[in-house]
This record gives sequence, structure tokens and C-alpha cells, in this order.
Amino acid sequence: MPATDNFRWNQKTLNVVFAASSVLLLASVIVMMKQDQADEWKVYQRTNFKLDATVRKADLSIIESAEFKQQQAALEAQVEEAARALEERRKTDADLFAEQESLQRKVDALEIELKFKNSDRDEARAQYDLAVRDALPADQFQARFDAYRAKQDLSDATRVDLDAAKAALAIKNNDVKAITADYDALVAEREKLNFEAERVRAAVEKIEPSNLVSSWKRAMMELPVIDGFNSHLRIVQDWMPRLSQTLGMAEIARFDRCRSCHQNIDRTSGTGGPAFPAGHPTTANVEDWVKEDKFPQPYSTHPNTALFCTASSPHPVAKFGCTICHDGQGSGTSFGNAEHTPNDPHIAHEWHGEYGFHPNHFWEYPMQPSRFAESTCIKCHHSVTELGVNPEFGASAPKVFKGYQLIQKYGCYGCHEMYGFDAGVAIGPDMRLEPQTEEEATRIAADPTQVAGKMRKVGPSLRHIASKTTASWIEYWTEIPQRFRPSTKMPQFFALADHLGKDDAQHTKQFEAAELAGISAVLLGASQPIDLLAPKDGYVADVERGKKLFSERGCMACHQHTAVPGNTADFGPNISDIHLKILRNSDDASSSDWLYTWIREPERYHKRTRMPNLYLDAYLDVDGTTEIDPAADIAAFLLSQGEPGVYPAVEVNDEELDNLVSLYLEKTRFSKSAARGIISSGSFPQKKADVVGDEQALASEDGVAVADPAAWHQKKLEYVGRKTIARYGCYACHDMPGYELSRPIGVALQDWGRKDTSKLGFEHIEEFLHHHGEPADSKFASTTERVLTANQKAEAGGTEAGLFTEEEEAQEMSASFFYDSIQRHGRAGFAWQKLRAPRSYDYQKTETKGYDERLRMPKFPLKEDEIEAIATFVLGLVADPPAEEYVYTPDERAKNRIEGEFLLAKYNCTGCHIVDLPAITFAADLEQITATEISAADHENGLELLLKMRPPQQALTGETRKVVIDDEKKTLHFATVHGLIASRPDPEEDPEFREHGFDLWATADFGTGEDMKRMLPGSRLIVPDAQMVKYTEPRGGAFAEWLVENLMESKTGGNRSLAWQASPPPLYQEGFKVQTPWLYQFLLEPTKIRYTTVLRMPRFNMSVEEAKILANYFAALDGAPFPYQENAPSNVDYLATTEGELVHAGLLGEDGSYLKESWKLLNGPLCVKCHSLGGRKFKVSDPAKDIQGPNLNVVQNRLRADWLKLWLYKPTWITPYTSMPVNYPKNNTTQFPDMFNGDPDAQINATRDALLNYTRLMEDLGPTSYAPPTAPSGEAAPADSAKSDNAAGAEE
Amino acid sequence: MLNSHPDLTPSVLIGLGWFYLLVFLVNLVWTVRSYKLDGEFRNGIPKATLWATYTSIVMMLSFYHFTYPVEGFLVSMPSAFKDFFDAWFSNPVFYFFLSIVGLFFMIQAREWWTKPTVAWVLLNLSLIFMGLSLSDYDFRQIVGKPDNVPIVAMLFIVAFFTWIYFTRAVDNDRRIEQGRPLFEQENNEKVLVWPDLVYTELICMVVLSAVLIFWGIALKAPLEEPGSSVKTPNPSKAPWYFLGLQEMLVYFDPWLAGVVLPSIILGGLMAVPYIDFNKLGNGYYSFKQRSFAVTTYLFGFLPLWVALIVLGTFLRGPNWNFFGIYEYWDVHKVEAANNVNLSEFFWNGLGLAIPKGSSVGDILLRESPGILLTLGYFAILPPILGLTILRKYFVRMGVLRFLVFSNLILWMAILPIKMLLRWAFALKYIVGIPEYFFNI
Repeated sequence: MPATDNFRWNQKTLNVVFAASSVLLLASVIVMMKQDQADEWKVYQRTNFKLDATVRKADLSIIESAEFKQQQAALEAQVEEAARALEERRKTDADLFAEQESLQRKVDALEIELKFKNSDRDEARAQYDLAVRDALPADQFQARFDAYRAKQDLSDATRVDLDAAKAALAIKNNDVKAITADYDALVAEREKLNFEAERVRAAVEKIEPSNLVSSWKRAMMELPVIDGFNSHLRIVQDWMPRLSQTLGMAEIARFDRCRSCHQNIDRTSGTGGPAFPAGHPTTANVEDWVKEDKFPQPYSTHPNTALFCTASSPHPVAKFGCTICHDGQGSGTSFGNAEHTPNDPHIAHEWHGEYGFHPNHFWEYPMQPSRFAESTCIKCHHSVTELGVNPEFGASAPKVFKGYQLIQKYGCYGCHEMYGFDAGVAIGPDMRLEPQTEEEATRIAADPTQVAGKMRKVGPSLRHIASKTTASWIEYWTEIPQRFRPSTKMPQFFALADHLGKDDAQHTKQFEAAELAGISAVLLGASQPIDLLAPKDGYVADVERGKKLFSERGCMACHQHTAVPGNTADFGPNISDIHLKILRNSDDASSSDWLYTWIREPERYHKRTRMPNLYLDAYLDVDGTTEIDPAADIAAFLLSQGEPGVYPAVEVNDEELDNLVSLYLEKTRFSKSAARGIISSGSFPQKKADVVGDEQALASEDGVAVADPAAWHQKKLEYVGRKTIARYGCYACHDMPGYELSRPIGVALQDWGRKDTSKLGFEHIEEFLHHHGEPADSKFASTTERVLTANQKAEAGGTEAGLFTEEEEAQEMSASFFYDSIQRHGRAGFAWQKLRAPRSYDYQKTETKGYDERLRMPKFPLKEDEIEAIATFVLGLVADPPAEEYVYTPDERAKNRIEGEFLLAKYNCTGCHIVDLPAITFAADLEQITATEISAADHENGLELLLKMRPPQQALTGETRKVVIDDEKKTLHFATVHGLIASRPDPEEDPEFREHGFDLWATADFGTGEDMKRMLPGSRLIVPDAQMVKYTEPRGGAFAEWLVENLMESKTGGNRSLAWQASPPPLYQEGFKVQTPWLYQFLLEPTKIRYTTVLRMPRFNMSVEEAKILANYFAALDGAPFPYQENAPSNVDYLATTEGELVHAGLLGEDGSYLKESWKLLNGPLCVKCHSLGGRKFKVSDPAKDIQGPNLNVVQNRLRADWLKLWLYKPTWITPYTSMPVNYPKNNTTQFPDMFNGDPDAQINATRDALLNYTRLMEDLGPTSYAPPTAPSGEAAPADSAKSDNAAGAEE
Repeated sequence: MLNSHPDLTPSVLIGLGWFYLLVFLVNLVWTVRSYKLDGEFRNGIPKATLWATYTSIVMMLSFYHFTYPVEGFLVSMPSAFKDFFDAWFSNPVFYFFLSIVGLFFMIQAREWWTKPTVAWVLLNLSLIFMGLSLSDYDFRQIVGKPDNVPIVAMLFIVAFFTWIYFTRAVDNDRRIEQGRPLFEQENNEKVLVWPDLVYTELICMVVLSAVLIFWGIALKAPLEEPGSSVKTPNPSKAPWYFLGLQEMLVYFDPWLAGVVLPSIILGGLMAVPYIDFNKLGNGYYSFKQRSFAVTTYLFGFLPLWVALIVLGTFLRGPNWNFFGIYEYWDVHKVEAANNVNLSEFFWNGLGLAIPKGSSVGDILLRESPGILLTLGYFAILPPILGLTILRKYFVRMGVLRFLVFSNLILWMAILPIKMLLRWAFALKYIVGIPEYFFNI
């Protein structure tokens, strides 16, 4: 058919189709724009504007109170009045105003004229300059200069006119101002009054404009397309070019757009706290949020504005952004794309409904769920300690710090190295074992690219174990350590075959028996001999005295023992059972030389032990004849607790032993038949010297077969033992001969937080958890069942519906979270189950792998919350440090503080010493609080010094409680003070009369301004039991407190002060007190200082480096100078000046020598009463009353000048429990009238200076004595009446 | 909540409800068409009654999906069928043979399946299959992935255009047999550029834009993890249009599968007009007049290209293992893959030691069987073919054209041949010279 001119399609139809398709396209564009406008962040920003306006309006209504309005109206009336008055004056003084007006006009005109003249002048000058450049002929040159001159003259003339006119105007202005002054002042006042309100109103006006044009413009700016041009709805972006992130292969700058939704994240209120505190308001109405002061996400402020986000915090959001800490996808602008991570599956479910949440495994750094929020801190805070103990911010990341402490406690780093450095660059917390041999330490020290580890192996040394215990105990213990000692931290390696089938478990048991026997064979075989100490021949140990010494000499700072109950120390093991395991002397079962040696000189057994030398040297009893050997007594006490334990040796099935030997031989290089041949013949085909590896145990020296079956059996056991030790890495925790250089057996963890999850061996864990996974006493048959139940409960309302307690919910939902993580093959879930039941990953895998290929990780006695803390830490190990400037690098002071904290924990200094005082919070009736009175005996100078050293802290917390006392309504203010318990409430007393007593150690101010009441250190605070709010235990010193209670009963007759004097002192402001170099020496070689104490500072196996850090630590903590201090009073200039001043003040004769007089004073009849001094020994006159103070010859090197002076002014200001009296009360000038004219202040200074020049004076002047013309007026100062019966100082 | 892989969820049921509603609507139209055109059975009942019954069942199915809760829901793909299907289809051999058998069945039975009713029944079967399969979690995962959606569409589009071709071809073949004018002659398709062509093109452009925008809004661009050289995705897949090539990589070295074979495909397609001596079939559809050309092309296009894309998309999972369409993509699934070179077969078969040297001579000696075989395949087979079964073509084409033609055919054949050898003998390479990266 030929082509026609007819249309193929009906044109009308085509038009209709075209119209329809165009409408479709339009619709698609509209839908697209609609979607764009519905972006979550835009919705949030709109709401936030509403919220912002509401808050500001609320502020406005507070500012514009009725009073304010009244004030405003009054002022307005005044202004109007003044304006009217001014108008009147304008009429009466019309001439003046007219003159001013015309002068002003003249000045204006002249100013313009001058401007023109100046321009003309500039032009002429430029012409002249050009003439210079172009070297014009002389006549033209001159002409141009003349022209310039003429113009300059004109300009100058105008300036003179202008100045004259201005002067005239100024005079008139002053006249006018005198008339308008009232009016002007009122207007300024009005402006000032309205300033704040106007500012807020302007802000509201910006968000919700009242005029039509502005609001129309604002509406327009939100329209599609137009909103691209600087709209108020816009993406807020933080750009951190140096804080890069790795995406696949590329390092790119970090863009965080989080603040597009979280707009108020860094907004603080006037007091510095969050302006929009997070919470769950009851309605969706912003007005209600403001009323309730609770703001939902994403409108709330960061909960910790002191630390994060704000410009004044250490982590301002503009510098750090958000994702460096929280992870997530910073560039994402929707809930999903930001990769929020729910804290548990229930929340995931809620989010799914609310935001369409679903996990996205493609993004490598999903946001940390809140349970792991602290993980990322260690990216920059490599020393971790500052996250747990921080004078400025407190424990800012307690969970990750807890994980860190647990890892230290259980010594995970023995098997799992955590490198803190990569090619010399810090990448994270460094947790590695310290070098194990001298050679290794020297090698590392010599290599600048290497940093030595600093962790000590956590287990005891097994180097000389044969002298310590028996083979059967070793086997019994190793199999299940907790069976012998429930509180042990040694993990369980054996008998973990619950998940195996019955046959396999039986088989495993046999193998394990051979392994246990093997381990003890190797340990005892390799054990090295040791020279043990023994008490003197014929010494009869006293068990009762041993018990007393055990409790008093410091053992209980680290250990617990059921025979001496009451303390909770767990730094060392609970040794109630030690008598069962220790090898006793063969001739006398009541003594053990090993135990004696260990107690007396621990480093003899193990050079690097954390057990210190307690100086338990023998001494003579008070009678002066009987010798007491405390170590022997303590050992006898410990052994007297029972008979030695009897533990059956494990039964080794010979056939299974052979099977095991064969298995290992086959793994080495032997065929099955060759291995069997070796076993049956007892002949290893090589000489011992030619064998490398554990097979040495089987080979004989000469290569001849071992004929004796027992010897061959032993060899086989040793072989299996060596294989087992190598397999389980026992040397990770224990010092073992022959294993000094063995490498850790575990996976290094420094980047485990980013470990590729496909490399984690989940194996059949889901099946395992489906059927097992919970302990036998659990009410759930399996973990799956447990989690399903938890989820159902959460779904049904959780705590709100009463299905959970809060604690339960936290625990169960935590389990649910980790279980869910396992389902998704996440790292967190893997770590959780690995720590809960390490061998469960072998579930139904043992059938298809060799016995020696089974998992090796032991089971640690960890609770689930501890596991979570460890997981938090380990997940934070990402070995991905940000740019250097972001990594936390402490200054010298902070560095010493942080490293010192580490050592406090390492050596358990806090076992004995209080390092942070307890905090007492109580509801104070301010009327009842009495300010400390300054008595006539107190020196003003001393008070000044005290307030400098212990600046007052505001006690009131701002919280209040309303109560009714004696039918009277009262408002009690919560107050927090620091001090020690002075008395406890008597439980037999009527509840309403029960009272707590506290001795204040820090200066506390109650209130401010005129109403302020100040309590000084040393004052007693009585708090009725009903008003106690909270007692925060001190940090450290649990043993000291325990000992004080004990000594009060046994020794001091209830006197708490004396008991404290006998116990380890709190180290409060130790940095202000002692000289750092002295402390350094003292830590390395503690000398005896106090005579009042029942125990001595022990000597730790501390390196000089560590002693240096610890000594610096205390000074760094208090902000005192370190490492060197100037001993000012020994300075010649100082002495000369002081002498001159004293002479000038008439306190010292013209020819008197200051130091000589001082020395005389010091040697006078006062100090020597209690202290050995100047060659004279302290003499006891009344043993019951007299207290010997420390020798004064050490003061010079030991104490800092200011501290010593304050101490002399009033000792109880520093240490409330001291017996040292005020020796020079201000109001006693008759004590030594001939010394410095009897001036006590000068006498104090002189005593201090004599003490600090002690050696020199002893050299120059030697022993001196001095007797005042009249007898000293009294032993103790009247001002110190509370302590007067204690006669003399014990504390220096 | 803990079962993160539920087969049925409320949203799946709603989605399927809409799907069946759509099936219902198109069948409603079909029923009307059937009522008008199909006539009656002998007893006077309209044939459309069957369609009406079917359509109403589909409608009820749709409502059932909309209204019934997940708990106790009855309609889903029977697990026996799923197991059967997975057992057979998680096997590339069966899949490949099925695609070839399908191709030849399609050609043989073209008269039957191009009938509208048969085609409609087939379409409905495939839709019902889809609907039932979508009730399976794993099937949904693989089919519903945003970047796999166009491939599902492609399946229907390829089927549709193939159907168009065969319908027209069958029609024209019949016309030629009966001596009637061709369809193209009878229905002159020449139209005016304006408005018939340009206007419709404009409308198509507008509609296409709208469809793409709606599609973009409904299915967001599927982004995966950032690229990394140390961690590649598993499975690591090429874009869908290259999945056929990627499938070849299983059987051939990259230089062959990635360079030589694609070049030959392009070159071969360009050479087709010069090789083709058949003047018939120009400008109209016909099968009988071009049966060899069409069969060869369809063999290259359907089993060797489209089927391999489908295979690569839906059946290749983690570790490049085969997975049934209802099978969970378990990364832990391991398949034994031990393949042996021809040279090893040869020397071991003869009981001789394999030449171990690394000199060129040693290598050539070692690989001599494969090299000879390959040379023989490309050098000796063409003359033999030309003298025997392809004699007709040799005569019409002349030497040069025939050699090009036969070599192209042989190149096309090496893929199925290599596949067969791999499956039958676990043959890795015919010529394996890894020393010089030369493996065939």
C-alpha cells in the first residue's frame, strides 16, 4: 500500500495523551520537590525555630515582669516629663539653641571645605612628586612646588578656621548639654532598662516577624529552589580537614552535618549547664517542653556541656565535630543515613516504627550505641587513666576505664598484646608486658623506635615453685582454680567441655588429666632452687601475736582472711586457704620456711613481685629481752588455720597419655607408626642436644632408649606438659623458667575494634545459644529463650509495666543487644560470648578438628557488666589515631598526674592511703551552722596562709529540701563538705538524736556575701542522722579506716585521733607538704618517720623512674612546684633580710644573730619534749601519756617551708587528728619573753627557719640548750583545748 | 524480632496484595477481550468463562493478602517446590542445558506459543510464579534488590520482544506458504515524521522522564560500602550487562574472557552484514527464510548472554558459589573446586612424568597436547566443516568469507565446549602456561 498523507494517530488523541503525560511529569516533579521539602532535617529545623521562639518568649515574659513593667512605665513618664521641660527651655533659651545650631552648621561647612582643599593639595603634591620622578626642568619644577605650596597654605588656613569654629561650638555644646543633661540621662537609663528585653524581642522578631513583608519574605525563603539561596533552613556543616576518616581506600576530610538536626547541641544556659536538657516530655507541643524543661531528641543539648561541644569545653564542636567520638556517617542528613545505632533490639524496633530504621552493614563506622559511647574516647586518650580519674572533670568515661582496669586486673595483655605504637607513632593505649629479661630491656632501651611495655605479669612467679607447694596441689588448682579459691582471678582452662558430647567429654577428661600431670611435671622439674630464710633457731612463734601483727602490719591492705574479718581488700588474693596449699617444713608442720621467706622478703622469691617488703624485721619486745620475729609469727598464724590440704594426684590413663604423645608427635614430623614406635620403644631418634622444640623432653642425652618405664612415663608427661604450657600460654601470667622469651599466644588486640567481622570465627555459636548458653542455675534453658523473654517483656512495657526492675532491664537488654549482635556477626557480640563461654565457639566443631586445634581461651570469672566494660574498651582499640593535634597530649603536670594514677593502682597505694577525702552531703539548717571562731590564740598570718593553701569551697550545692522541725517549716540547703568521720551515730540512741560527727579537712563556705559562714579545717561538724543525704566513701584508705576502727578497740581506748596517728595517714595535699626529691628517695627506700604508727611504709619493687613519677604526682596534683623546690629559709639573702627586719622591728638586738637565736629557741624546752633534737634523744617520762614525734633532723629535707609554717601556726588546721599542740599561741607572749621580744609570730618563723637550716646549725653551733627566764606557761595552747590532754605532738 | 529473615511480614502481604490486584486488573481486560473474540465452547458457554473464573480467583487472592494477618497465612510457595527448584537450579549444568533446550523448544514450538492465549497463559504462569516466590525471604532479597529490579523487568521485556518477533515471523512464514502478501506489505507502516513520529517521540520522552523520576523516588539509589582494595565485596559482581562476561571468567582466563572474547563478539557483530549472503528476510520478519541466522543469533544472545546475565545476577552468591533462588546466601557454603589442566590429564594418563622445566621448550612440550588441540580446532576444523556439513555455505561464501564465518562460529562454540569440559572432566585449562599468563 502506498504511503498516504493520513495521520497515523488521531491528533486529538495524541494531544490528550501529550497533556496527560505532561501532567504526569509535572506530578513527578512536584512529588520530588515535596520529598525534598519533607527532608527530616528541614522538619526538625522548622520545629526548632518554633521552639527557639517559645523559649525566647518565655525569657521575655520573665524579663518583663510586672515589676519591670511598672519600672518601665515610671521611667517613660519621667522621660516624657523631662522632654516637656526641655521643650520649655528650648523656648526660653531660644538664642542659645539658635547659636549652637548656626555654629554647628559652620563647622559642617568648614569640614567639607577642608576636605576639598586637602584634595587639591594632594593633587598638587602628586604633580610635584611626578616632577621629581621625571626630572623636569628647573622652572617647571619650581612652578609645581609653588603650586603645591599655595594649595597647602589654603588648606592650613581652612583648618585654622575649622578649629576655631569647633572650639566655639564646644563651648556652646557644653551650655546646651547642661540644659539637656537630665533628659539625656533618662533616655540612656530607659535604653539600659530595655536593652535585654529588646535583644530578646529582636531575636523573636527574626524568627516570627510581626510585619507582613518580613514574614512573607521568610515564607518565600522556604519555597523550593528559592531555599537554595541562603535560606534560614540550611544544612549546618562542620568541616574538619585534619580529622580525616578512611573510606575504603581514601583518606578524606570529615564533614559532620549532624547539627543540621541537632541544632541546640552546644547551647548552654546562663549557668553553663545545658540550655535544653534532654528528656522525654509528655506531649509533642514545644510549649510543654519549655514548661517541663525537658527536650526530646534532636532538640536537646549535649548532656555534658562542660566537656563537649561548647566553645569553652575541651572538645568544641566546631573543632571536633561529632563523628570522631560518636562515629556514624557525618555527611548523612537523615536519621537513617547518619547511621544511628540503637542501644538494644527493643529500641531498634521502636526506631523501625518511628524512623524506618534498619541496620546498614555497608557503612564501616556506624554510630556507637550509647552503651559503647565511651569506646571512642581511647582513640585520643591513650593513657586512659585521665578518663577515670580527673581532678577537673571527674570520671568522664567510667565504663571504658573500668574495662581498662579489668584488663589490668586479669592481665589479658599477657596473651593479647595491645600495641600502643606503630613505627614510633602512638596509636592507642599501650598494654604490653614489660621486658622479661635484662637483655630484652637493654635492647629496647637502645632502640629509639621501640617503647618498652610496662605491664607486669599478673600471676605469681613459678620459678621456684617446688619450694612452695606440691604437685598434687598444682594439678588440683590448675584444673579448676575457683574450686580452691572462689575469689581467684586465675581463669579456668580445663573442665570446660560442657558443650561436648558425652563420649568426647570423657575422652577430653582423660587427655586433660595427662595435661595437668604434665604441667606439674614440667613446673616441678624446671623449678630452680632457692635459699630460703628461716627464723632463728629455737624461735617459738606466737600464733595469737601473729594474728595481731597480721592485722596491724599492713597485710590486710591487700589481702583478706576469714580469721580477721571486716575488710574487702582484693588487690592480693584472699589467703584464708593458704595453709592448705603451702609446703611446710618437713621437720615441723607448724612452720614453713617458704612462707616465712615470702612474708619477710618477697623479692627473694620473685624479683618483680607486687608484694612489698613490709620491714618485718625482728625486734625486741617492750621488756627489752624477748626477741619477736613478726614474719615467723604471721606465718605461724596463717599455718595454724588448719592441716595442710590433701589433694589426690590426677589419674593418668597410660593409653590416653600415649595417644596424646602420639598426636603431638604426628603433628611434628612423624608418621603414625613412627610415633607409635617411639612411644613403645622409649627411644627418640635424636640426641637431646640435636632436638629443637618440646620434643627435647622425650630425647635422652645420649640418644639411647629410656629403659626404665617410670622414667619414660615421666618423660612423656613432661613432653605433654610442655606442649600444654605452650598451647595455653601459661607464661603469659607467670614467670616460668625456660619461657622468658616465649611470645604471647593470643590475637593482638590493638585494632580489634575495626577487625573485619568476616575474620571472626562464629562457627556454630547461634546453634549453641539456641540450645545452651546459660548457667545450670539459670531459669532459662538457653540464651535464645532468655533473650526472647527479655524482648517480649520490653515490648510489653518493660520497667514501666513492672515487668523488670531497672537493674534487670539493663542486664537483660544488654544480653539482648549482644545476642542480636551475634546474629549479625558483629564484633561486640563475638567478644561478649567469647568472654562468657570462650569454648562455646567449639560447639560441634571439635568433631572435625584435632584435640590440639581446639580453642584455648580460658574462662574468666567475669560478670556480664564487666564483660560489657571490657568490650567497651576493646571495641575502642582501633589503631586509628586522628591528627596529632587532636590526640590528647597532657602537659608535664597532667602527664605526671596520669602516670602517677597508674602507679597508685599498680602498687595499690590506695589500699592504705586516702587520696581523695570523703564527701559528706547533708541537708544543712543554715541557722544551725556555726562559723569557726577565730580565737585569740590564732595568728592572722596563719589564717591567711591556710586560706591560700586550702582555699574555701562553696559547700551549698543549690539543692534544697523542705522539712518541718518542731512544727516549724524550714528550708534545708544541701551542702557538701570534705572531712573524716569523727564519730558515728550511736545505734542505741533514739533515732532522732543519732548524730554523725565529722572533722573538716577542707575550708568550707556556707553561702555567699554577708550571710556567708566559713568553717575552717579542724572544726567539728555534727550532722543529725536524719539530715544526712549522702556519704561518699574516700578514694583509697579502706585499710587505714579499718585499722582505725580496730585500734580504737584494741589500743587507744576509743580515741579516734590516736588511732589515726597509728595508721597510714591520708595523703591529702601531700604535694604542698613534702619536698619532691625527698619523696622520691623515700619511695625507693622508706625510712621510719613516725613513732606512733603500728606499721611502716613498705618498700615496693619500684623502678627509679616510677618513684620519680609518683613523687611528682603529688606535687602535680596540688599544683605545687616540682620536681625541685627552693628551700627559701636557707637562702642567705632571706636570712639577712629577715634579720634586718627583726632588728628594725625591735625584736632582735642590734648585735643578735637571727639563726643563732632561732637555734636556741628550737633547742628550748618546748620541742624536745616530744622530738629527738639537737643531739638529745626523746625521753619517755610517762609511757602512757607521752607521744614521741618524728625526729626533727629530717624536716629540712622533707617538708616545704610554707606548709611547715602553717603547721607551726596551728597543726589541727592541717591534720585535725594530730596530737601536736599549738606551741606559740598568739596571745602568749610570756612563754619565751627573751626570744624575739616574746613575739610568737616571730618565734614561729624562727622555729621554722631553724628547722630548715638544721644541718648547718648543728654543724656551726652544735648541741645547744636554752632555758627561758620563766617556765613555759603551759604545755598546750588554750586555743587547742580539744587536744590538750594529748600533751605533745606526734604528727610533725 | 529475632528471626531477622521472616518469609512473610505484614508489609510483604500488602505488597503482594497490590501485585495480585494488578494481575487481576490486566486479566479483567483480557477476559473482556476473550469474551469478544474467543467465542464459545460447543455447549454454548463462552470461553471467557474460564478467564472470568481465574480472574475472580486472583481478585480473591488479592483481598486475602490485604485482609489476613501474617499468622496462619496460607498462600505461599510450597516448600517442596522450593526445595525441588533449588536442588535443580543451584546447578549450572542443569541451568545451562535447560536454557539450550528451552531455546530449541521455543523455535520448534513457535507456532504454538505465539498464539495469544498460550502466550497470555504463559505470562500469567510467570506472574503467579513471581507472586508465590516473593513470599520467600531469600527470593525477595535477590529479586528485590534495587539494582536487580531492572533485570527482572528485562526478563519480561526480552520475552515480549522475542514473542513479537516469532509472532510476526510465524505469520509471514504462513503468508509466504499460502502465497499471500507479507504483513509488512499489507499493513504499510510508513508514517509522517510530523506529527506521527516526532510527536510520539516527544510524548515518550516526557513519560519516560516521569517514570524515571517516580522510580528514583520509590527505589533509592542502592549504595554499597566504600571501595577498598583490601576488602572486596563478596560476591563481587560486575554491572548487570557485564555479568555474562563475568560468567565467562569462571571458565576462561581474564585475557580471553575479558579481552579476546568481547572483541570477537563486537567484531563478529560488525562482520555479520558482510558474511550474510542470504538476501531473503530483508525488511520483514521471517523465520523459515533465515532459520540458520536466527538460530545462531538467538543461541548467542539467549543462552550465552541473557541466560548468563540472569545466572550471574540471581544464582551466583558469596564466594561465587551457586545458590538456588530460594536459598539463603550463606558465606560459609563451600563448594569443592579442584580443576586440572589438560596437560596433567595427558601426561598422567600416559603414565609419564610431567615435564617440569621452566625453559620455553619444556613448557611447550608440557603443553603440547593442548596447543595442538587448539591449533587443530581453529585450523583444521574449518576446512573439514566446509567440506562436510557446511558445504552449502562454503560454496556460497568463498574461502575467505567462509573462514571468517567458521572461525566466528568456532569462537562462539568454545564457551559451551569449555563449560562442558569443565563439568564433565573438571578441566581447568586446555593450554595452561601460567608462567606467561597464557591460559586457554
